[in-house]
Amino acid sequence: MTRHLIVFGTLAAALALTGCSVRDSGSEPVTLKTDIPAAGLQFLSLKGTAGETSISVSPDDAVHVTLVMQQEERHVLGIALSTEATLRDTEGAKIGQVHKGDTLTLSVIFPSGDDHNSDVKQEWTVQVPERFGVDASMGEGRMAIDGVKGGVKAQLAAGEVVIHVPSGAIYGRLSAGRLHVISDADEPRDVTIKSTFGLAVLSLDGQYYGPPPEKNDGFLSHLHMLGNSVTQQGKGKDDVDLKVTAGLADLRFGPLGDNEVRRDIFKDDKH
Amino acid sequence: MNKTTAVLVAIIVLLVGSFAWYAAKHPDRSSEMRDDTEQGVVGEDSRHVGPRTLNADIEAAGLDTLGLQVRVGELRVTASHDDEVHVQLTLRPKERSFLGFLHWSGGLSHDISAASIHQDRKDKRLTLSLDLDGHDQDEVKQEWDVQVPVRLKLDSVMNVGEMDIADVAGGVGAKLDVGELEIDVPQGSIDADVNVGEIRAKSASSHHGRIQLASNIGDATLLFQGAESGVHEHGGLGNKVSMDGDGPDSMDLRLNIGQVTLHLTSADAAHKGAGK
Repeated sequence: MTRHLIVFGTLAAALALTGCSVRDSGSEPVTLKTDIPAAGLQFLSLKGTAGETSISVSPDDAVHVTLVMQQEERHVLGIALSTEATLRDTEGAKIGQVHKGDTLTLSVIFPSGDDHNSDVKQEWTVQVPERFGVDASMGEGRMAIDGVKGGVKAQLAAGEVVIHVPSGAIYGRLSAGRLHVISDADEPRDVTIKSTFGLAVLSLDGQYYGPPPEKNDGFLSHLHMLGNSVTQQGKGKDDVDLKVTAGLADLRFGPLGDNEVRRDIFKDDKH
Repeated sequence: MNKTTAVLVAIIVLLVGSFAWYAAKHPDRSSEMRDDTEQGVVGEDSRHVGPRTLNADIEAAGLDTLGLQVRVGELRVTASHDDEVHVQLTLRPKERSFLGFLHWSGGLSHDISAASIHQDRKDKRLTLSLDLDGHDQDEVKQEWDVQVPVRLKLDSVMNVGEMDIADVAGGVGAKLDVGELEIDVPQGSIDADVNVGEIRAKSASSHHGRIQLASNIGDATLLFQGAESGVHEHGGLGNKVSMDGDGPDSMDLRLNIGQVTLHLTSADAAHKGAGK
């Protein structure tokens, strides 16, 4: 009797796993590409979920979009599984485009209508004309915005935001992580940088503004548990507003100073 | 130590000493930056010159508007217990530094010792500002603590810093270049304009008029008792929220870059505003 129960239980478990529509691991990433003429457009709005977003300058007057989607694997008893429904949704996904006025809004549209926030990782690579302003928001991950002149609005829940622009206003919000911003403009107009729990620092034409580093120059000197804010006014045209709830917010205008305080923070991270 | 080394050491000591003396006498004004770092190198309280506090109690009879003009610092406005304007202004010379270790005060003691509260009374308007006898106001951090009869309208202007306005019922006008503006009023119109930073406003008015919130780059949020409301309009990198109303308390809050939030707390206001 016991042997029959074991055999029956094993068969039932196998059937249950099959009925759950799962696949073995190894779900291939799905790549979508599209090119959109940019005539008449001035702004890009992009809302991603977890993953990575890279926005840079296009060589022509078009928006070039590549989206790679990878299902996040779930592990049961050490076996990586993927749900059939999510795979079907990923394979049937399309890049949604909404043109409203001078703004192009991009998103991913799944056939089921689900947003797959938690089980599909998105990697966006977007090229836009240099004149564009960019409004990008994501859940968790990494966001890099490079080269645009029309202003940047970047929001991330957790992770890293790296912005390097030749000019333009910058608005950044990050709940936890690092907000690393460089503008090649000579001077800003109004600047405010704030970290509620962490460090907010500014490098302006080679001069450091922010809390002094601890006297001990070791690893602990980079930790700054209580927050601070830095506010400056200059004669430039571009305003900047950066806020991080927990983490590091750093902004640089102009070249690095040779002996600048906390110099490493302001270096250009190649991404 | 041979003679050459001794001469070199003497020259180095002389150069460092000269630089330190020069830096102390000539704070950096080359870029005409104004700073208001809350903590740290630039904005720490003076270590060389202590703060100075000025006080004034001014009869408000015949007035309907109080104007305040502040360059760099903090402004806190609350209700007065009588029909007078009570002012406490604390001045602190700002400190600058070089390489994180060499500190000097931007505003010297003679700047602060010459300070007074300037009163300009025209018709029904009283305007207060700092008179520093011609010295550079950007080298002094101003901390204003002002108590105002609630019936007065407030009209405040600040370059850099934090404004915190509470209890004023006669209407609020606030203009700030960069920083944070907080408003918490029982009623009255609000006209707020911030270039960079944040506006957090709360009104208990039950007779609001037209409400407009706008951020050119950033977010604008209108809350009725915690719930998002209003008509939203997205354009470029910014947001606008508006709501109609037929009451006298119009509210217009504008930001160039940053976040603006208005919270209407009156249940009556929520009822009137719903669906408009």
